[in-house]
Amino acid sequence: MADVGDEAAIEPPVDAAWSVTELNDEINSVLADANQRFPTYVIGEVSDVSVYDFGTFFDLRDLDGEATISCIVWSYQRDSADYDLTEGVETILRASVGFYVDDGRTQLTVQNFWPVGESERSQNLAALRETLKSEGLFRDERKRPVPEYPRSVGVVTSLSGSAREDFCEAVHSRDSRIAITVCGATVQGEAAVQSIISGLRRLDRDPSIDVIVVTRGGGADVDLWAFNEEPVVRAIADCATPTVVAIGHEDDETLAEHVADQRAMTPTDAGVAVSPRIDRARQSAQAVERRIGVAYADFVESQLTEFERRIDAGVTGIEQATVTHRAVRQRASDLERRVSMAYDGLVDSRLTELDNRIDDAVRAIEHDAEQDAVTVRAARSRVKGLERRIDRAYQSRVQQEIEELDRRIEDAYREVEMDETIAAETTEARRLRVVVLALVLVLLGLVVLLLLGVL
Amino acid sequence: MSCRFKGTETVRLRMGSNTVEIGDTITRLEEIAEILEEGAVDLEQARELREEADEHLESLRQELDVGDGEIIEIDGASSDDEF
Repeated sequence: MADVGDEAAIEPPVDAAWSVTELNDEINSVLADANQRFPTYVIGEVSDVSVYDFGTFFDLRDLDGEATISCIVWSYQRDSADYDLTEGVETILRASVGFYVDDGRTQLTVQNFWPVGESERSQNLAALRETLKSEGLFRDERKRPVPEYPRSVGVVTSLSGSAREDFCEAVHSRDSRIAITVCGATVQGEAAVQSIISGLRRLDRDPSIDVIVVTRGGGADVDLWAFNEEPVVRAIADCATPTVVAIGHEDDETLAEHVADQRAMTPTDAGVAVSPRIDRARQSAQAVERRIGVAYADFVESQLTEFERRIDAGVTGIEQATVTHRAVRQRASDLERRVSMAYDGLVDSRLTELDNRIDDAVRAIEHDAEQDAVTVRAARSRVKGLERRIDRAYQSRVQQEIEELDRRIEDAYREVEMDETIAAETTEARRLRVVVLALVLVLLGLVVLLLLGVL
Repeated sequence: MSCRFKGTETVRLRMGSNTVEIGDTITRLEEIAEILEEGAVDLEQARELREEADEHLESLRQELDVGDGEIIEIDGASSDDEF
């Protein structure tokens, strides 16, 4: 192309300018014409191998420098090769130079390849890995936890790369409170080691920094190589502040990530790793506040309900006791009234009964008295009758006796008048008189006794 | 969110010295919630727990309501640090 130099101020020749397509087509044409000038074999270190079904992409890196070129080996040639493509291995390729017009990209199309052996760079990396491992810098025991809720994060990355934006966006989308101190650093090339270490030390001296992140975006292995350099790896391992390292993409692996306290895949992942979901923390705080509010209200409510229940139970108990007391008193009153009534009734009954009995007794006595009177009267009448009968009997008897005696006396007299018997008859008459007198006395005694018995 | 370029000057964002450990505070609040939910305390203890929870919640709200953090950029390319 023509050198425009200081012609910027001149009106550009629009008609003479090529389109990109025209330029790419011309490049393609020139390369095709110069094809015979390119070698058939190229030697270098294989890196950044990406295997797909249709073929394998990889970079071939200069053994003594940083120059690289993209390569592709189609699957049918890859699968028929005697060896595998291995990163870090010095390899000889048989390839042709291809140019892609659409994106202006140059690429080697590989027909076959032969590994020569591990490159010196790979051997040095393996040796350093073993050394660091033997020193225990990879052990999980020495890894410190990253603060769950950091307030200040330091990050060592390029100020111009997308890694910075990705990281800051990831952090502030999750927790906008977090202050981020971005320490700009050169993350690839010869100056990268010093720049990264300088940034690390600067942030590590800052007591307000809670966690340090070292990150950069993806790139070829050569671009990421600074993070395999021993000074950088040891500087990360020596940090007093917890560290998170995220270099390249998921498939990229550096020693710096192994000595860090936590590894992240990408700058965005690093942002996620050091920042909590503060909205979740807010949600958790709100949720636990609601839980506590509800739990406290429920607890107080349950306590008040329990107290109310106990008070109600006490009141109910008192009311029941009062009712019971009243009932008892009522019952006692009723019983007292019943007892009183019963007593009065009983007394009345007994009195009435006694009255009746007395009346009956009186009537019985009166009746008995009447009966006795009747009896007395009857006895008296009977006595009188007896007296009369006795009198009549006595009179009759006496008369009879007298008559008998008279008869006997007459007889006696007749007998006395008879001889010798008159005296005896006289004596007999005298004796009979005494007997009669005795019988009269006996009869009188009987009458007296009879009268006494009637009374 | 502010963005400042400070060249080689180290800028330290000072935070309050009495910053709240958010995770620990939420854990303690959840413990309090569980205790209150279980109800195995008396009314006085429940009141004390509620007061403690209110204090934690207030400090947590203050911590969570902090404004947007700054992004401070330091150009490390001109650093004179040696290693």
